[in-house]
Parts: sequence; C-alpha cells; structure tokens
Amino acid sequence: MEEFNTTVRISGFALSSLMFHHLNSDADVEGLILGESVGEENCRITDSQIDHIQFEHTINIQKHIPCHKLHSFYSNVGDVSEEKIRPILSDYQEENVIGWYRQRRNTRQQMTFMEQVVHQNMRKILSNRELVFMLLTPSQATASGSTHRLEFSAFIWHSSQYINIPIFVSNLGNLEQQDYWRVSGTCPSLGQSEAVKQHRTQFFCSGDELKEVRNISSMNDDLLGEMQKVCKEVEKSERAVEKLQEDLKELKEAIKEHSEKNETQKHASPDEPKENVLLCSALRTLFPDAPSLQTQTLTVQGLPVLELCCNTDHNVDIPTKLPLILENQHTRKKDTAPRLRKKCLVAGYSQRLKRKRKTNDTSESASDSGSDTEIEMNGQNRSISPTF
Amino acid sequence: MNSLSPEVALSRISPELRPLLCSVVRNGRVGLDSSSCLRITDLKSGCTSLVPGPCCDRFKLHIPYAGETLKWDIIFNAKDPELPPDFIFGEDADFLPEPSELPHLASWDAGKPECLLQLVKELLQQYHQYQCQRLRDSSRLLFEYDSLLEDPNYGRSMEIYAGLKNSWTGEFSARFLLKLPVDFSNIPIYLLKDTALDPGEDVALLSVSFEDAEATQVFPKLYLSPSIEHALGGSSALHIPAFPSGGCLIDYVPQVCQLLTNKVQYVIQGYHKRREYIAAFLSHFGMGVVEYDAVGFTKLTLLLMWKDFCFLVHVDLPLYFPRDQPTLTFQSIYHFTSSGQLYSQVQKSYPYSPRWDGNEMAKRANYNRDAEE
Repeated sequence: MEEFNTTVRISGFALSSLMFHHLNSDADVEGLILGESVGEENCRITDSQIDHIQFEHTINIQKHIPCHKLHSFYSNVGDVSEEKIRPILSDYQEENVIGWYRQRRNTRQQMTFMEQVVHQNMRKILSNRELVFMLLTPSQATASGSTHRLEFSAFIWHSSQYINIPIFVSNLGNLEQQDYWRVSGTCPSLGQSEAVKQHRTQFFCSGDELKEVRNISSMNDDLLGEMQKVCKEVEKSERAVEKLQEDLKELKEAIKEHSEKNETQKHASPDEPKENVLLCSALRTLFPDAPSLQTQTLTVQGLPVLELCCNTDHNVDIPTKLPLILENQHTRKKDTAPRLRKKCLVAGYSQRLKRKRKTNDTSESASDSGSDTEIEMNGQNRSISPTF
Repeated sequence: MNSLSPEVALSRISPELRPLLCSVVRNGRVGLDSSSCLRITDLKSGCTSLVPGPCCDRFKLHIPYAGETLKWDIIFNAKDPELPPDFIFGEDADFLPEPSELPHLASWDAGKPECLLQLVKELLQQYHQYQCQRLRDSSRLLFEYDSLLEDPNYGRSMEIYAGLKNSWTGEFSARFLLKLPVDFSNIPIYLLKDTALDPGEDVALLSVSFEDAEATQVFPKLYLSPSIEHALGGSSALHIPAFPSGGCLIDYVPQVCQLLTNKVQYVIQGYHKRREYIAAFLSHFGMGVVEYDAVGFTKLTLLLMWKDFCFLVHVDLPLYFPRDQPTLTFQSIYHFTSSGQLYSQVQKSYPYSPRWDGNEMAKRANYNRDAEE
C-alpha cells in the first residue's frame, strides 16, 4: 500500500518578505519561488509482513524573486516564455525554481483560470515538474479597515487536479517534536553561517547586542530620566501646595479664635450706647448755645449732665440730611427772642437757681411759677443716671 | 450579496475600466434568456486603502444560463488596466477553457468597450461545451442531448446545466433549456404593445429538469416572454402536457412546439376572423353602428329598431373566436332596472357555427334578432 504525503515549508523571514513586497504595491504581484524539494520514501514493515510505503515529499521555500510587473513571463493566453524567465532569475539557476507565487487582494483562495494555464505551461517548460503555486490573498477583515487577514496556501497538480496544501512556517527552526531527525532542518544554524558573519556588523553592536535594541534602550533611558525629572517637579509643587494649605488653615483658625474672642468681649461688657448723630447735629444746629440740650446723660432726678455733652462735630450735611431743620430754624428766628430760654420744671433744680440768683444779684428775676428763664448748666450734679 | 444598479456599479469602478463594464451592464444580454441582463455585485479593489477611490477593479458577474445563475469572479488590476482580466468560475473549479479559442482574450484591447462582453460570450460557449461533456456521466441524458443536437431546430438553441454527480448515491441531475422555434411575428401588434415591461425579444423557452439520470423524474416548464404571455391570454391560458413516462425529448419538444404554434395560430386567426366578422356586421348594419373596436375588433355596438322600438345590441368577440361563440347583449334604451342600470339581456344560445364566414354570421344574427323581438 502506497501513500503520498506532500508538505510545503517556508521560513518566517521568507514569508514576511513576501508579505512586505505586496504591502508596498497597489496592485497584484507575482514572482518566482526558489528552494529545494526533498522526497523521502518510508517503508514500514509490520508483523503481518504487509509493506506500508509512505512517500513524503517536502518542498522548502527559501527565497522569492519578485517580478517588476504582471504578465512579465507569460502572454495574454498564458504561454510561458523561457527567455523571459531567465532575466528574472539573473544569477540563480533554473533548477532552483520550485514554483511561482501570486498575491492578490480581496479575492478568493482559489486558483484563477490564467493561473492554472500558466502553471501547466510552466510545468512543461521547467525541468522541475513538481512545481508549487503559492497564493496569498490579503483581505479586509473589518469594515473599518482596522484588521486585515492574510490567507496563504500552496497548490500542486496531482492526479489531474490541483490540490490545496497548507504551508508550515518554520520561524526559528523546526519546532516539531521528533524523536529522530530524518530530514535536515530548513534553516541552518545562524552561528555557523559565513553570510551572517559578513553582515553581522550591520545589525549587531560590538557587545553582540542588536543595534536596534541598543537604540531603543537608550531612548528608553532618556524617557525614564525625563519622567523622573517631571516627577520631582510635581512633588515639589505638591509640597508647596500642601504648605500653603497648612498656612491657610492656621490663619483661618486664628481668625476664628479672634472672632470668638471679640464676641465674648462684646457679650461681657454692656453695649456702649450708640449716639444718634442726626439728633445731636440737629440739636446743635437748632440750639447752639444750649449745652443742656446737647447732652445725652441725665441724673437720677432727670437733670442733664452738662459735663457729658457731645462736643464732636459729626460732619452731618444738614441741608441734605435734615432740610426741615433749616426751615424750622429760619421760621423760629423770625418769631422768637434771640436768647434761647428753657423752662425748667424740676423742683430741686429751682432751689439751686434761687441760690445762684441771690449770689449773682442779677437784674433779671426768676420765679417758680414757671416763667421762662435762662439756665446755665454747670454740671454740678454728677450722679450716674440712665441715659437715652 | 447585494445587487447594485448599473449606475452605482459604474460609479465605483476604476475610471479606466468603466467603458468595459458599461457595455456589460447596459447591453449585456447573453444566452437564450436574453430578457435577463448581466448583473454585477461584490465590487472590491486590489489597491491598498490609501489609494483614493473610485478604484474597484474586481467583482462578481451574474450570468443567467440554463435556468441557473452563474457567478463568475472577474479580476482586473486598476494599476494595469491594459491587461486582460482573469476569471474564477465559481463552483465549477474544474472548468478550464482553452485560451487559444478565446480570440478576444488573445487580442485583448482595453480600448474597445465591447471586448469584455465578447470575451464573456466566448467563455460561455466553452462553458456550454464543458457542461455537455459532463453529461457523459449519464448515458441516458447523453442520448437526449445527442438526439436534440441532430435536429437543427433545437440543436443550435440549447443550454445544458449538469449538476454534480452524488458520489454516495450516484444520482445525477441535469437541466435542458431550449428555445422553441415558434414564429411570433404575425401576432397582432395591439396584443404585444400593452405590456408594462420592456418586451425585448419575443421568445418561448422550454426548461426540462431531469432529477435523476434514468429520466424517471422529469419536470418540464414553459417560459414565455411577457408580451407573448399577454398575447396568448396570460400564464393560465397555455398548459403543456406532462413529460410522458419513458418518453424522450426529441418527441416531447416538438409536441410542445406544435401546441404553442397552434395557440399562436388561434390567436392570429381569431384576429382576422374578428375583423372579418366586424366588417360583415358593418356592411349589414352600417346605419345602426354606434361604435366598434377598430384595433382588436373585439367589440361592436349597434342601435337597431323594430316597430318603433329602439334598442342597443353589444357584440363581444372572445380571444379564441371563432372557436368560442360571440356574446350578444340586448339593451333597452327606455327601461331601467331597480338598480338604475339600463335593462339588458345576454344572449349566448343562438344559432352559431364557427365554420360560417362573417357574412353568414351577420345574416344569421339578423334573423335571430327578429326572432328574439
């Protein structure tokens, strides 16, 4: 019993360079694939002596050569020209060609009419009849264009039809678990390669570090330093704000204490009498020579205390604030005697007046009967009396 | 899948490719079923999203064929508009045309607007050959095809769609679509002009579906273009016979063809007969003619008098006259019914023969009128 098994492998950087080629093109792209094709026949013999033969065919894609434009090595009807393939290959041998590829956006993962014709014609012309056709079809996965999908697979002609073979990507080597290595790895050890040593200096620094990594690291260090500086400034400003807030708090407490103190003092001492400045000004205006009318303090007996009369000029604008005063004053000046008289009705006060009259021996006489007399306030009675 | 109107599709296509598609969406009638146009859907672009539109250069083309709709992907490159297109033939993955037999592909000229349409027609011809080749899976169906192919009346106007053979049950199905060679040119124009749709070509298509390879389940169906269907009296006017058990297409198709031809003849003859009838009545009752249908000759109204009694006579001629008898309606001009209509009486049972000519019919009708009154 025979069994055929074909596998296609490609290295990670070969696949990524293929993708990169199409990403930078606004049209479909195609080209040739170089690599090697390895066949292996495994014969398994069991106790029943039935031979089980398995043919394993491994196609390793190692490199691709892009064509500058489409239809560069075949005509409109798919006729392949060997003369046109040679310039594309340049230094490579035709034996290294294991197939060709095509990349087309937003199409199905299915060979087209022309691709099938070209592939058949290539099989006829090239010595390697086990050609593989690699098809990559990128497409938009979301309507917004944020996610794109790339499908890729290989097609080979087998038993009068094309069969689709999945491609295995070997990134750093063959990662499959195998007990024994039956085939060589697709990627030789990088450390032993002369080509890698030759181009090493373009990518690595003296300390075996990738240049790009060092650049990124130094940029990272600078960013860190800048961030630390900014952090310190932020800390400084935060501390200043904190200090100001504390000062503000202390001041508020001080103000609060002060206001509380003032309030208690206010409640402890009686309220000082508030002077009615308008009344005082009015009395001063109307009775400028009667100090008894300008005091706000009376004795217990109701006598004015002349010593406590208000001598302050309150600067009240009489014409504006008390216009009626002026009118009254003007009227009174016409009707009354120039000297102001006040009738004193208090008994005790009249006795003092008599005594004074006797001592002064004045021509003018005063009686208790209530005639108007001029009273001179001398403020002798200083007893504390209710004020108003 | 959303179908786009031709204008919308053209507006999204890359400007360099627009003339090619314009020819397809506006004039794209291919195959036997020319009443259906080619449709375009799923417009996409092969450019990156950075390229400003319109830049669509690949789409799906819907092609009516043998009662099915083929969906072919057509791939251009907007950046290389001079290159010919590429095709993906839908589910027919093993259909591979011969490029050397596609002259419009070999000498592709992007400057000719009809180049794409011609290429599609050439591909369809090869697709037809491909489908015919697939009939080889069934000897019975291959026989049907070969026998029809030999007849020049049907062989040149035939489309075949062979389904996939079921590998488990071995079942195989196919559909034959044939254009019947019936002459519709003599159908009176008035019967064709009233259709609301654009009639296009007058065509009759017979679709025969074989659900199995041994032809035990066969389903025929007749498709008429809208104008023909209207002229023959609607979809219910024509019933084709069932496919006979054990029969074959080479016998059945001519039978259907004859049936349709007879129907068309009936309609044509009926028109001429009606015209003759009306002419005869006009000559007999010329002074009493109120009105008549001068286009289709389906109605005639006379004002007659008998012993100072005037009355109207309405004559209605059916579509299949003289096979179907005309209807006479006598109507009084003096009397009303309780519903306010003029009193009338329909008369169908009067002496009549479809073999009489128009003159004879007029005379007989006159005698009959006197007898009725």
